Amino acid sequence: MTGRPLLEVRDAAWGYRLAGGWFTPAVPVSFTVSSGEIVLLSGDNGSGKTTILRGILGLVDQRAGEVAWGIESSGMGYVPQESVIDRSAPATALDVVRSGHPHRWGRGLDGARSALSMVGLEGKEDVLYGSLSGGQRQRVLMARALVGDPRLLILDEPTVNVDAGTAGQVGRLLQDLAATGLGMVITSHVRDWIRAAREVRVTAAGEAVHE
Amino acid sequence: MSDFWLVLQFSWVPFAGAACYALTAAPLGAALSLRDEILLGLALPPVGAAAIVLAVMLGVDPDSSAPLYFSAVAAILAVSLMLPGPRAQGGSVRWRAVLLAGVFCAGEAATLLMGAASPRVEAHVHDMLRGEILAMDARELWGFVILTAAAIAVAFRNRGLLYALALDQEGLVIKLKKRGERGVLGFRVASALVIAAGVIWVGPLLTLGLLAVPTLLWERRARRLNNLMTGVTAIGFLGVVLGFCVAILLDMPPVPVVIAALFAVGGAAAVACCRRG
Repeated sequence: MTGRPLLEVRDAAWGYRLAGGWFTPAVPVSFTVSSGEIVLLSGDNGSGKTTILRGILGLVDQRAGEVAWGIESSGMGYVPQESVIDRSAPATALDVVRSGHPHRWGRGLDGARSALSMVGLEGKEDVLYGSLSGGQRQRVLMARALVGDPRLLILDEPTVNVDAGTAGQVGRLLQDLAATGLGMVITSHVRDWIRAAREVRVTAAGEAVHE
Repeated sequence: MSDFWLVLQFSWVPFAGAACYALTAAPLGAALSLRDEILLGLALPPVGAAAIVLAVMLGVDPDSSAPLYFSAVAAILAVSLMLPGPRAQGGSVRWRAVLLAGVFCAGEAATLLMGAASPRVEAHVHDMLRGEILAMDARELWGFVILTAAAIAVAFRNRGLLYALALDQEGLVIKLKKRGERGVLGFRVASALVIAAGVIWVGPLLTLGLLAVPTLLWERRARRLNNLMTGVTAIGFLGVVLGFCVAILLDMPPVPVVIAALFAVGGAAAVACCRRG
């Protein structure tokens, strides 16, 4: 780890406004992510991992703590769950990857092909997104995040709809990408699919949190 | 056949206007469908129609297209900005469908009530809003052609943004922040401009037909996003041309015949695509 962290989260909590006040699913968390480092936000279903992730992305109101970015927002790539894109849409893997850099649609073909190759999907460029397997769709979304040459990837449950073998492949792919200097924040309710990650345990509000 | 050319001399302007309109409405329908928003094509035209009727009631000249058009644009844009976004979480997808049905009913009811309250309004806009006449003159046509060409050029230049909005709006906003939010607003404004143009110049039924029917018949056959957009545009354009010719030859009302032609052209394209494998 060298230099300023890509992302630093200090005692931060996020919540939703409800009729009777605020609902803050998880207790505050603290962690830093540097180049080449993988931080795994793990916890049971309903513990508030996705709220934390969406809070970091600015989609949920911050209720406490601080979030400091060491990079421009354009240096961050987001990988949602594969189900975010309608599987019946007539979009090829290449279409989905190119949509990650929409202002360069006409010029971004080579970069998109290269990103697909990085995630092991060369030859699948013209295959419809919906006809790929769950693991392949997840890798397409990783390729989409990679086309902008990000320094930090944020991934929401990348193994939620895949079997254990595919989860292991995704884990190895992410470790390979981290070895190139990419920092990562990943949420997952299981731990064993990725070995090189530093775990930050997320617990539902009212319980302790530890790094 | 000589009757055909005679009638065409009188009706080529709305014919050309509707064919021109198909070039923007059909791809917009495909984008709305990808965003789970095609029901906007059903719910928003009655809102635009109600705004046109209200404008005429308030004294706007029924033959003056620009004020009526911008009344419809303003009403459609206002309502579409108040609606929740596409692919909303959890139960609000269902809520959104009910909401759109309610907007449709409210728009239709308001149009009918205002029309009944003012016989002058009823006389001027009833046929237009039922799609029984296509209200465009030669001067408006040339403006419409220029605006359509400009809209197509802007959409083509920003097709990456359009596709990103259609596939994953939230991902786009996360990626581009304020620029992404401006893109979402731009899409809403463009949708309002196109839908309002349909309400005033081809009627709500053909507006919905051009938004929905080409996409209905081609979306499952398209092999990539560019192919989806070119396919629905071709089906929309050819459907309008075929429908108008048949309507003139058979002396039938153009709008329902054009819609039948859209089904015929789209169905033929889908069958041809299946046979080619």
